[in-house]
Amino acid sequence: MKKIAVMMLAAFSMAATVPAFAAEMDKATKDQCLLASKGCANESKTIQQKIKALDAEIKKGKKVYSAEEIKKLEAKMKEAEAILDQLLKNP
Amino acid sequence: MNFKKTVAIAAAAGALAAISVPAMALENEFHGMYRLFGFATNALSGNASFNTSDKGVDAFFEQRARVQYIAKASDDLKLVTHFELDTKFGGANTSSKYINNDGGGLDADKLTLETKSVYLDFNCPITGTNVKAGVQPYNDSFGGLFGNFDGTGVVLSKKFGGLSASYGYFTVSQAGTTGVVFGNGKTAQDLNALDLKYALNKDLTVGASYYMLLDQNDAGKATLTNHTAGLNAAGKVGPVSLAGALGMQFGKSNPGNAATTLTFTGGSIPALNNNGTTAIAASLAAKIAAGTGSVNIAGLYLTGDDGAGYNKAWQPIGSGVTYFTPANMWLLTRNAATINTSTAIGGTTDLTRGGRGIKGVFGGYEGTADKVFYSGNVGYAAVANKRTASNASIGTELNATVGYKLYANLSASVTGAYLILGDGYKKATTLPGGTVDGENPFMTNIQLNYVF
Repeated sequence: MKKIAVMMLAAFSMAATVPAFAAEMDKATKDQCLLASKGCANESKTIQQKIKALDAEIKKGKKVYSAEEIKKLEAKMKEAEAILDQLLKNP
Repeated sequence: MNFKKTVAIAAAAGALAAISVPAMALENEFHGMYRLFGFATNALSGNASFNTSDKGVDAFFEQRARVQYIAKASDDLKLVTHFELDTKFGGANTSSKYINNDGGGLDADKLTLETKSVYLDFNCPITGTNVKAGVQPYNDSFGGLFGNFDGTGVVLSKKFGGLSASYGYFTVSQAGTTGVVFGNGKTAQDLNALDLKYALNKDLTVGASYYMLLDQNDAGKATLTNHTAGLNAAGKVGPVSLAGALGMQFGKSNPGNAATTLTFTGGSIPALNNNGTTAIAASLAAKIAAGTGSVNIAGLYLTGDDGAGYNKAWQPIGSGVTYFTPANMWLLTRNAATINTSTAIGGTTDLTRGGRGIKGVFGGYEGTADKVFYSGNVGYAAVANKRTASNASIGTELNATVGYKLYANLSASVTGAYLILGDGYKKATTLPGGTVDGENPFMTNIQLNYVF
């Protein structure tokens, strides 16, 4: 049992760190990144997606996050909103 | 498989994980925007001037792209770089706002890239103070009445419970190209900015600010100072959000912004002079949630100078850096979305109207319906001191915008704005930049906005 657990752990740690490699191995899967610019390994969030994601996490509230973590998320929300303002408005 | 083998597999997997997740991971954040304006107007010239005479309608396009890259080592350490690429279709060879010979001409092969900000942002592990050092955006606590700008400086900020304190030092101008003159140390114009904000509860914040502008440019003279002190508050009561600021200036004058001329060049601030100054600014903006949008109401007052005795004009830190965006105007005052060529009536980006001051009231409604967004606004403004003009009234603006979200981050919109000229721009002698019996200015634009 111990052996299986260790092997599973090893397998999972590999899978987590090299997802692109795993995807390439699956010959039956369509490459959505090349086909439709979706799910690319280096995809990053747009500023709108970041604000939406932060809002969703803040709404989870104290059931999921500690008071300190919520403060941190709120600070990140302010930072993201400031970035949006800097992009869109004068000066 | 014996236990040794499983340990070996686990160790190999661990080593692989260690290689793929280096100890110093860097989060790369890319953001940016693209905005296209297509204007049809009898007022905006496309070259930072504003027509009020009867010369027909013209059309032009301009675009702006901003690209931001943030290299984030951790939540406590990042480098922020932000660049701007402004181009007028056909190229703009004379406007001071565009890079001379920008890439808008045939075959494009010209430089367009401008610096917006480049600064290091980190939290000091010893004191817990946030430090921002370099070319950075700075917003005053008057909503832009003193200056919202990108400047070179160092800003330190720290929270003490409900109190947020920040101190900023900016070098806003240099004396020529001589560098430091050893022995007198006077080569620069500096801004020292202190801001305090205290959250009384989650819905109400009060603040105080003090900005000291020092002119140390001239080695032969004493250092001159101009002081701006202010109080501000922002709060929410039910569906109403309110923000207000009150400011007072004293000390020496910043004459470029109190001059009798209406326009001045952008860039560095003018030298201070020995004249005393007493000036006041006040602003109030309310947003009231109603239906699918909000009713917006705003008021603005900046004292003006009569051209005699000590200076009574409110003096921003420099020209082209003053804003009052809650007005939501296009022709009376500059809109927050404008790029380079748009100016308010008078051909100015200066809210103080060459030191005449301004008083205005503005109201409107903005809302959304699924992918459609819309707004309508009306505003009236007059100069606070008309000096030699026959009347203080600038005029009344009506504007409306309708837009559609084509994608989550791409929108298209059309705007129309019409300014009914006040007597200050109708009767002889007019306010600066006016024409006797001038034509009422109007502007229509189409806008594309992509933000990511």
